[in-house]
Amino acid sequence: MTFEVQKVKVYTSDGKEVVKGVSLSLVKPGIYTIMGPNGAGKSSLVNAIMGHQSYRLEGRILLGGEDITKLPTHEKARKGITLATQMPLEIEGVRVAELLSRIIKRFQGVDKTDEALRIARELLSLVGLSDSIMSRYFMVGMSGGERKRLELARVLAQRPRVALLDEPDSGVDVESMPLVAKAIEKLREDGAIVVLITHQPRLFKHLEPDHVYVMYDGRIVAEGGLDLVQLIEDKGYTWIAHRNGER
Amino acid sequence: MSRARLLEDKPLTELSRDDIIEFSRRRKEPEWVLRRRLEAFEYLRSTPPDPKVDPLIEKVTYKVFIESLENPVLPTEEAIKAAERLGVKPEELEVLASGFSIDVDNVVVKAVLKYLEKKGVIFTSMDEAVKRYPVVKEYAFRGLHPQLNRKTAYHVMLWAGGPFIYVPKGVKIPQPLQGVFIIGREGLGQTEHTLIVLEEGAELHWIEGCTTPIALRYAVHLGGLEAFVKNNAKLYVASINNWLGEVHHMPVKRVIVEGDNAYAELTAIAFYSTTSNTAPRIDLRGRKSRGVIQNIALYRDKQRIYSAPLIRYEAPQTSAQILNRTVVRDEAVEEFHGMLYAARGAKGATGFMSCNTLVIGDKAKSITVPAIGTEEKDAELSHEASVGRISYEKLYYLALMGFDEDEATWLIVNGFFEPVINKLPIDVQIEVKKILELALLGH
Repeated sequence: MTFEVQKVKVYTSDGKEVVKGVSLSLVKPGIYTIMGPNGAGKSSLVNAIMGHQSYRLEGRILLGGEDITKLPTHEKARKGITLATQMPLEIEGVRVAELLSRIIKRFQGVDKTDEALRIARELLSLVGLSDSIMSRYFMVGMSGGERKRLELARVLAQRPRVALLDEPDSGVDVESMPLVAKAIEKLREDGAIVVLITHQPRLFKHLEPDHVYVMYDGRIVAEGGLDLVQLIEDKGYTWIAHRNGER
Repeated sequence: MSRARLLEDKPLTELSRDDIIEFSRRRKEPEWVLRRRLEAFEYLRSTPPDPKVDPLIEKVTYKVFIESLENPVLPTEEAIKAAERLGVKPEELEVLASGFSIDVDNVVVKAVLKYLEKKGVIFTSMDEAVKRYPVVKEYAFRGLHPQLNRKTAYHVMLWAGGPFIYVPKGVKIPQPLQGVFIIGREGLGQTEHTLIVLEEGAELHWIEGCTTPIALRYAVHLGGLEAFVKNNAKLYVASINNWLGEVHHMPVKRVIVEGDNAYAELTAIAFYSTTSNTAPRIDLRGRKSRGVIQNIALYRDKQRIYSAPLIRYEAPQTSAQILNRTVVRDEAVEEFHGMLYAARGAKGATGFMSCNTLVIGDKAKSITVPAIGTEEKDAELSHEASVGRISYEKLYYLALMGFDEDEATWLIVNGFFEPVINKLPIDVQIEVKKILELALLGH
């Protein structure tokens, strides 16, 4: 499986260019981290890739060599790419059990509800959520940390080939951080290409990314390994961007 | 009077006194029933037409009406399928009104009926009941009396079929009784009259489903339900309507909660009709009695809906709720005029009305006009209303999970109804969810 982002530019509905030509060629499973300050264009990039109506995207998105740029969001998801959103929404009146079992049936080819529910419970357990959450309405009244973990369980339920994770660690307390890391690790183990957006180096205490990109003002301005994360901590994004010729 | 005279093709709004007398005689009804029909006739003659009612009834001719009563469609495979569209399994069917019934040779159903009979429960057709049971005369058309309004008057004048359910003192029926009413042909297909009497401490869940086996060119549903609930008795009624074709739905319903500490709940679940004009009413006459009217509906296409539930408090410490939870899509227009009214004597009455509407699309409309009135200073009545739309963000979020727009809408709508649906009997919950899925996803 390969995932390619070719010369992507993203514009907001009022015409502002927020991603100014990003290319990524990810050819094997792994965790590919995109780090960058607020406003760098990270969330805009992943949402535009998924086809959010607030963005206009130029360039091409290839999944396994197939051009999926213009497919509607649900079809992209069905092809195996999804996004864990930064702020998961409440789906009132729809229980966690119902939503996850529907997803599992579709994406994992499970026919029986009992089996789908068993898988759902396993996934919830993986992210440290108890069975009792199954009967609650999806995301309704949940804490920030619970939401993030449930969102990762949802993404896992889809068995994606490409998982775009938009700050899955924000709002997560210190104790839950290893669980978030475990879920991301599980995606990698399952053979997914994980694009992990974060600006919290603390996640890497529990998880080692395969590659790190730094995004700044709509562009990828640096890439490397964990040493790049250390550099970010020491010097900050602006310094890295300037060193590499941005601005 | 000759049959030719009877079948003269004229609108139902132009029937003569003789036509009504002949109609009643053909049905071999007791005199008191005829008197009620004639009272309705006189009321109609002396009051001006109702623009929401008369033009619809006017389109049905006497001939068509009589023929649909005297030559009902047989219980065909289509009728069974129609019942299934209400989520009712064939083996669960017992009473089908509108002139015909499907008797299913089902051991369980027969055992239940035998059990009920032993307990003194009467569960039979109204056509039979008016002739056999004196208790019917005591109650029938007392709640839905001919002078209530024109719609009720038409119903009383033209009613035929429907069940009579009498539950004696202290008998609690453990599982819901269920009736399916089917409009099998064009015209005024349903004027069934359901009469329920619950004696002291009795309990009943009555589920009625109304549908059509095929898409009709034109039909009017003018069914009626009246119920009387005594001390400490509890009545739950769920009506599920799912029509095909041009069907104008205008039932009349009234529950009189006569007893102290008694409870009545009227739930309407409506999925399709061309127009709908409903005004279910509960009168709370027993001290500390309680009433709930709830409506769950999905309106679509060019439906025109007028809904005016009323709960009238007439006794101290009574309490009530009106809950209206609807989805309006396409070019449908919903008008809601719910009312809680505490009359003199309803000291300490409490009540709450909640109207929540989800509007899908730019052309759908919802107009909500909740009303509260009181003649007692210490009555505490309140209401809240909300009208919302399905946000793009929610559709996008569900699309990330692989749900297309129809599926996502179905999930959101289902979730919107859930808080009301999950309080219904489990059988009804399953049926309603099935119908919703059919209505929104077509499978």
